[in-house]
Amino acid sequence: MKKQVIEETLKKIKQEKIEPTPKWHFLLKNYAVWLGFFGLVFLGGISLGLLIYFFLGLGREMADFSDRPQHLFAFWRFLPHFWLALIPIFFFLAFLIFRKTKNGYHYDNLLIFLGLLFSFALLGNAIYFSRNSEMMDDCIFRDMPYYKDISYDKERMWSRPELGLLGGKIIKLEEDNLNLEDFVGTIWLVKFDEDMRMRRRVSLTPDVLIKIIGQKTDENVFEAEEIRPWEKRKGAPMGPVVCPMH
Amino acid sequence: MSLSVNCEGKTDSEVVELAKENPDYLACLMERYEEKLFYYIRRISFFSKEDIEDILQEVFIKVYKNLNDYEDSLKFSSWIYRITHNHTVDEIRKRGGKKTAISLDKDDLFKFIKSGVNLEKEVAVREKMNKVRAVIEQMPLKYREPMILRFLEEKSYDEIMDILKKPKGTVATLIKRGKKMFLSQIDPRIHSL
Repeated sequence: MKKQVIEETLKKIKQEKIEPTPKWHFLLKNYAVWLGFFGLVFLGGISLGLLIYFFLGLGREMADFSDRPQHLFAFWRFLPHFWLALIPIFFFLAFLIFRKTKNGYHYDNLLIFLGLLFSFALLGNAIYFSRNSEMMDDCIFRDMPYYKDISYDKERMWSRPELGLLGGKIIKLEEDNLNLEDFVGTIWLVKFDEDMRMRRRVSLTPDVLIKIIGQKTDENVFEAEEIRPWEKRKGAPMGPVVCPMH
Repeated sequence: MSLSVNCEGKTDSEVVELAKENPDYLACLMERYEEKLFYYIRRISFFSKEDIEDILQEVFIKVYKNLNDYEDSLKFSSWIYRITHNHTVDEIRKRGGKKTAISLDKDDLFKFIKSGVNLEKEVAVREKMNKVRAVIEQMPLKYREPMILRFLEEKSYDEIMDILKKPKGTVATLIKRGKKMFLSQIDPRIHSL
C-alpha cells in the first residue's frame, strides 16, 4: 500500500502538472481576511458612535418629558432600532472572521469577545467624541433614501401629531392661535389659551422653529398644551458641525 | 519504490523548501507521514482501506499545493495533520453524515482505557473490550477526535490546538468531557473508581 500511494501521488502531480500555489495567493487571502475584520470593527465603531449620538439626543428629549410620563411611552418608537440591530451583526461577523485568521484559534472565545467589545467601545466613543457621528449623520447619511426612517430623527419625532407631538416653523401669529408649517409643508392651525405652558426661552415670532405638545383636535388643527423652543439638538454647546465636502 | 532524492538528516521544514522546487522531495514527506496519517484517518472515519488510500493521496496533493502556505512557526506534523483532519471531515460530511464507525484495534482500545482510569485487573478490561469499542464508536466526533489525538496519536495539547484550530482551553474541555462521557458509559463501576 505504502509505496503505491506515494508513487501514484507523484505520478499524478507530474502528469497533471500540479504546482504549489504561489505565496502571494496566500498572502492576499490573509490580508483580505484582516481587511474584512478591521472593516467590520470600523463599521461597528461607526454604528456605535451613531447610536451614542442618537441615544444622547433622544435622552435629552426624554429628560424634557420627565413631567409628562404619559408621553415617554411614545419614545420607544424613536429608538434607533436599525443601529441597535446592526451592531451585534457587525460584532458577530468580526468575531467569526477573527477566528478565521491564521492564529485566531489561539485565543479563547471570551478573550476575543472582550477584545472586540473593548475595540467597539473605544472606536465608538472616539467617533462620537470627535463629532464624527454628528458629521456622518448630517453630511453623509442624511440625504440617503430611507435613512430618516431607520435612525433617530428629531424632525420625524416631532411630526407625530397623533401622539401629541408637533414641530415646525411659525408662519403667522394671532392672539390665541398661530399658523405653523410642519416638516412636510402642511400648515397647521395651533390653538392655545391662557392655561398653555410656555418655556421662557421660546420666542413666538414668525420663522422661528418650535415644538408643541398637545392634541390633534381636527384635520390640521392642533390644541397646544405646551410650547417649547426647537433648540437644535446637534452639538448645542459646540456649535453646528461643518460638512467637509460642502 | 526507491526514492530518487535523499532527505536523510533533513528536517521537515527543510524538505518543504526543497519540495517547492522539486516534487520528488514530497516523497520524503509522504514516507514520513503516510502510515501515521493512514491510521489517523482510519481512527476518525468509517472508511475502507481503499477509501483511506484515496483520501491520503488527495491529502498529499493538497499538501503539495499548499506548501507555500506552510510557516515553520508551526510544527510540520501539526500542519499536515490539520490538512488531513479538514479533508477527512469534509469527506465524512460529503458521504451523507453516516454514523462514523471507527476501526480501532485492541492496542488502541487499551490505550484509550488506560488513559482514563487505572484498572486493577487487565482481565476485567479485556472482558469489556467490545463494550469499549461500542462506546467509542458512539461518541460524537467532536469529543472522539481530540481523545484520539491525545491518547492514540499522543499529541500534546498545543499540537491538538494547532491541528483542530481550537483554543487550548476548548481542547482541554473537549478531552475532559470526552473522557467523562467515555467513562460514564463504559461502566458505572469503573467510573466510580
